[in-house]
Amino acid sequence: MKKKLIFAICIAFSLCITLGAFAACDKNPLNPDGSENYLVVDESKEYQTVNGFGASAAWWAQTVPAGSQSATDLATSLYSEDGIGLSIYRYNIGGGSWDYNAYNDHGAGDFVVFPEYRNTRSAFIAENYDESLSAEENFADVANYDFSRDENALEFMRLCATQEGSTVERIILFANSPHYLLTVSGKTNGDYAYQSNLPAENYKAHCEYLIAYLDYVVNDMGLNVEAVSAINEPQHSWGGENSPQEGCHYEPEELAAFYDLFYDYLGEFNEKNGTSVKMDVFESGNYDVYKSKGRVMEYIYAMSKYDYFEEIDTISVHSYGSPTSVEARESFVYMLRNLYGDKISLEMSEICDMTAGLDEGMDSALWLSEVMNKDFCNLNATAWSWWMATSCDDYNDGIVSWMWGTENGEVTPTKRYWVMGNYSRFVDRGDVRVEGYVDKASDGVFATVFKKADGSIVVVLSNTGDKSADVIIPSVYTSLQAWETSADKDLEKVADGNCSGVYTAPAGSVTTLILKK
Amino acid sequence: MLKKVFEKPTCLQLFLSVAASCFALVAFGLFFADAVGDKGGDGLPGFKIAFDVMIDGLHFNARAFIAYLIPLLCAAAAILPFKDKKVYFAAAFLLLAAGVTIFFMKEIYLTKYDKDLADMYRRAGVSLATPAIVAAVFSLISSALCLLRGLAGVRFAVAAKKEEVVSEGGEAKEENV
Repeated sequence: MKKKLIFAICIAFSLCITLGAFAACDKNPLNPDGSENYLVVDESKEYQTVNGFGASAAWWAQTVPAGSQSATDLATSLYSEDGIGLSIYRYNIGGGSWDYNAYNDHGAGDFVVFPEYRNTRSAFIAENYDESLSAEENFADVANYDFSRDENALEFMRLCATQEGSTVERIILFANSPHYLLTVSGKTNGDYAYQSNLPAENYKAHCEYLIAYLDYVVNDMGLNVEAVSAINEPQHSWGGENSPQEGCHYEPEELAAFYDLFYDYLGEFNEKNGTSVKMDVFESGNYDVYKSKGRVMEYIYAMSKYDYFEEIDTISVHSYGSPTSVEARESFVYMLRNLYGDKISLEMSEICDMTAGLDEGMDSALWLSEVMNKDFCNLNATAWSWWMATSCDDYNDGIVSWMWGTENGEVTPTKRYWVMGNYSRFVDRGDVRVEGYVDKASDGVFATVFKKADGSIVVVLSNTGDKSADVIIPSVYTSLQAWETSADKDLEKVADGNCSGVYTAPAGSVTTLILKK
Repeated sequence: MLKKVFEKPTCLQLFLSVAASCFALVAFGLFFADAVGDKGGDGLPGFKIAFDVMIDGLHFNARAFIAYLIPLLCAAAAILPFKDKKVYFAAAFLLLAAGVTIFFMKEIYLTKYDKDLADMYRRAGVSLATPAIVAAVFSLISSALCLLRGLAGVRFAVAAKKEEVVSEGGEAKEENV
């Protein structure tokens, strides 16, 4: 009997110790009371410095009539303080698919509205191509270029960058495919899937093509270009019948060898023009290190064998592979760190919601808020760009709807636009992401936290759940301003004054809080 | 209690069968969890790796040999005609093969890359995931239990036969008398 009693006491004591240990482990020193939905902000723990927000001008900017009301409205909406204040302008160096009307009659299905659909205009005059000369010589000859052929797109970029109150700070020129005259297939996509469509003998010609555009934008237009991105999503197939858009597949070794050449071309350009234009690498289509077609690490590893890799401090990736996966992002970051330490930072340079049907409600916007949160918090992205800024059809790939080609077409923001504004309008280049999250959060409640130079804190607070959440704000913050995007609010100011210590995040909302001590 | 179980042939065999099945079930379940991964990040389940390698890498190399041929030989050995309770020996061999395969899962995963890239992934931190280690250990334990079950079956069968011979001998003596 006595033995049994001692045994029972021992068991009870062990249980208490175990439970106590679990309770101690669960206690968060930054949430001392263990409150639910407690906004944790640790300003002392700094992560990446933000380098802007942007969108791509691919496929639609060439349809914006120069000098039109549409141009003004679009520029204001996207790249001004009166809009959402994007700072990254991504100009598409087309491969010339418009010359042979490649994409408007297939791939786009019912979305076809006019010949420019997904066809890109090139400044290179194909008729001038001299077969007696090498491709490199042809593409190096400035007489073979007529930039008025892409006047709309270039003028729209100029408008965005020079308009009053412009927020454009970074211009990146990017190419999806080399010019079709340089490719194996003679088209801006492969004859078959995974065809390496740029032959090695045309690497220099492609460099000349890109440099010709860079030279025009810098020297003729007088705009500051930060980087040229020569390759886009190299691991994708980009070939076969019914290819819906320009694209070029590269094997890792091909990509690395091309960059080796292009790096020298850019170096020469910079030396000649006193500029510091960077080589943007490499717009990976994903960051999936374990998916067999991901291959992101293989491309990086191939580049690492060249000297120019020493100068690479940023890699651009797209969030398409696993857009809502924390694990995929963390695996990628973990592997990069193991191989290259803290040398490499990441920019997220493209994503869109690839679903048909224009979602004018909050569903797609809440998805976007989740992607942005994870890209900043788990991928440690320094910059974040959406794919096409405008969409003209029944598809979720734009942030504003606008009928392409119209002089006075209405510019209709989607909720994605406003949610992007929850970030881009308040988080500036140079702001630093700090440790911050919602502790003991209700389902769908999360936050991304930044610190500004003046010491104020920007919190992008999302509640993707179907119940409102009372989020407790640390008492150290006495002032609170809030801008809400939800089903019935478009980045609307909803609070400005003393902080009561609790902020109620409505169900299905994204709110930017500015907190001050 | 345990002594009673081990003394009764039916109880012992039942106990070993249930224990082996439980371990095998957990091991099999874990085979669908991440088999390779990294610290805190993503991973790939074992069945997917095996599938991918079989599709992508149908060529001879040492790792594939270890990963597939040895288990295959084990499986072949498992159908050798044991006199009694051969099904348990077969299960033991199969589970042993599975355990070995799971232990080699990282190497299997890396077979699809050339040496240079495989080394890069090793340095990048790809490792055998904890669920795979547990699955392999459980599979081997299950294999051992199946082996014991088979041996116990043989032992009891031999003992029973001896008893039969003895009793038959006794009866014959009585008849002679």
